[in-house]
Amino acid sequence: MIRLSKVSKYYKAGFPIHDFSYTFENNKKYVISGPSGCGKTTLLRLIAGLDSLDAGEIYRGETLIGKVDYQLHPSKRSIGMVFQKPTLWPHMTVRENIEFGSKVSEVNEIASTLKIHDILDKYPDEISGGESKRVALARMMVLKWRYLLLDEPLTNIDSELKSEIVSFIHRYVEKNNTTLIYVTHHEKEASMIEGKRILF
Amino acid sequence: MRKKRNHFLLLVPYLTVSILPLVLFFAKGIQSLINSETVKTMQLMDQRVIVLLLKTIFYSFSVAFLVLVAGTFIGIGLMSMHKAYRKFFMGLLILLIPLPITIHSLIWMNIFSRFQWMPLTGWGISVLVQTVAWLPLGTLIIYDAMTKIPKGLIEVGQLFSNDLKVFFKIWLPQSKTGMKIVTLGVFLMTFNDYSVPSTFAVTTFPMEIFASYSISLNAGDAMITSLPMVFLGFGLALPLMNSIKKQFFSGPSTRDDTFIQEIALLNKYLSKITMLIILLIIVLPLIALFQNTRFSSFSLMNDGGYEILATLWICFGGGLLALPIMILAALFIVHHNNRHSFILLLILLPTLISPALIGAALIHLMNRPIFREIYLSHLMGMLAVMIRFMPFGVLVIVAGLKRIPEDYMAVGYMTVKNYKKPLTRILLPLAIPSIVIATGMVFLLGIGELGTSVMVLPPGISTITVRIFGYLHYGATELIAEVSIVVIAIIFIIEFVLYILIRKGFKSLRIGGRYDSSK
Repeated sequence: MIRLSKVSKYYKAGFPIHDFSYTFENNKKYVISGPSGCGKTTLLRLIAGLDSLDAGEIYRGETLIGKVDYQLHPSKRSIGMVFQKPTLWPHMTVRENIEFGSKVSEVNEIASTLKIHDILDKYPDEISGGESKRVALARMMVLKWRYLLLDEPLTNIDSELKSEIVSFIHRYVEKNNTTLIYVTHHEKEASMIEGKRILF
Repeated sequence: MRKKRNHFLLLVPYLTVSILPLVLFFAKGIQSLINSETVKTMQLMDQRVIVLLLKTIFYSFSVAFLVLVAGTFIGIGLMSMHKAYRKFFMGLLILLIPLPITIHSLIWMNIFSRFQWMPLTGWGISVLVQTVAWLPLGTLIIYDAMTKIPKGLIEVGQLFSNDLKVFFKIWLPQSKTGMKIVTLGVFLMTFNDYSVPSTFAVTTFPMEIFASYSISLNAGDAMITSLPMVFLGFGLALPLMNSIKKQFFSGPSTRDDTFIQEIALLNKYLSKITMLIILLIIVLPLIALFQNTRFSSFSLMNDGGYEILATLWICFGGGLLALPIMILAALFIVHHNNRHSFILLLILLPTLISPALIGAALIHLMNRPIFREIYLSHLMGMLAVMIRFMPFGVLVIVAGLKRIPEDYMAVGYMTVKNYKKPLTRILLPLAIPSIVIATGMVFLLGIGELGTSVMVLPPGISTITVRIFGYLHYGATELIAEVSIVVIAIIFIIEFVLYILIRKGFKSLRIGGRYDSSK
């Protein structure tokens, strides 16, 4: 489980989180929704260890992974995250992007599931926004994660593909016993995930 | 529980090469001053020195002000040009940046000597040469600031006012960071330089340090003499540093230089006037230089061939040795996200003090039996180049690293369980263009290094800039015009190679990469 205890994060010009406490249980799905700018992404970044805390503590199981002046490195948290923007490395092909963290090549399988098999040898600047989002999902989901954070992963993706990707996410979560924290501000998308709702 | 690592080791090579000589020199200076009569009687500066200091401040301020005004004008002119012309004229300005200041001196001496009524010595020609030498870099920094303004700010202004008012009320004030960098930077560089004033028989404050150390080899005397410069340097360092951070370390940014083309009044005349000015400061001097040579007498090996080879070797060695040191220091700064202003101040220290003081510090450290082999070799020149120009290289690499979106590394760190792979496969490949520019910059600026080299190079070893500087005191002769043309050609060729490497080679290899915010 991931436990947040009185977590706070303030920005000069950003979306603050104040005194937030919550426990994300293992093998469960959570959908965080709320209007733009309410701090959903900030929360995910704090859990992933990408931003430092201004107050409070974060635990993974019984292990303290973050507090003020202490941050367990993102690579040591067993937490994967797909960002709102795909952040594909521009100097690597799609295949190289997906293979970066994986030794066993399951690239072809995931590529055909996410319908990106024909762009594997292209570079990020040669593919569309929707394809970039799917590559970003593939890059993270080719690995097995104990905890997976998805930040608006279906933006820019065709509505026909959305349901296929959502069912892929469900299969992935069940197969790997993953705790899923899914952020979206689309009501329809939130209802597709069938997870516990957290309103921000 | 594992605490955050400090990564201080990354900074050790830089501090050892650049800062240690200065620290040891100052320590020795303080030690020799403890019982000194100068301190006991508190006669730190006499009236002559105070007047000289004030004169030098006025002189440096004049140069900084002229560069600011001319640079802003040309910067606006560049924005008003058609894209193709703009690229061409910006290219010309970039070509001029690393031109040694001694060659600028020679060029203007050459032009002035054609007119009987123009004084070949004095403050006027000295200010002109310094201004022209700093103008290309100053212009490009101001242009950079002017094109980094978020489009939204302009668009909101356009809802209320006409374009001309938006330009003067929003655009120009928003560019003030770049203008501040240029004013403070040029002021400090001019204040610390003694080569141009000495060429034109003008005495400025840094020459006091050069003279006091050369005569007595006493660290205490040199230190006392340099104190006003050090205080002034440190006083200006903080605002300069904050402006540099704001303009160059602020992460990925979008550029918009189209707005000014919509202002008909500026667009009509400005681009043409700017083209004319740039051509005047480039073409006219080059023609004057060529006219002063007869290529039939061109016997390069006798006239400076050895010095040219020695210069290339010193700059190549300096650039190569500086490369890993700069990368490590830049990684430290980026890792600590600019939090340690003191560290940045230390890194910039060599740019804040006189080259003569750096020379004195290097001699003080190396002139001992254990370093004899280094002291008598080309390495002294390489060290001079490294100490003086590594700060600029570090800033360039930091700016390059800062342009890489943070999430690129975040994803890398999540998907592999070590630091090495994200560093070597993501960060460094994406930062290669800035690393190459930084190394090339150390190399190119090294060709024109004079203030420190003239003090530290051992007998029998000289660079072409030192030789030109020596000759300049006898007037602009045909011989140095020929050698200067060769130096200019070498600089232009190296710049061209760097350009091809960065724009074409890296692009085809997809090193560096462009950061598309939607991907």
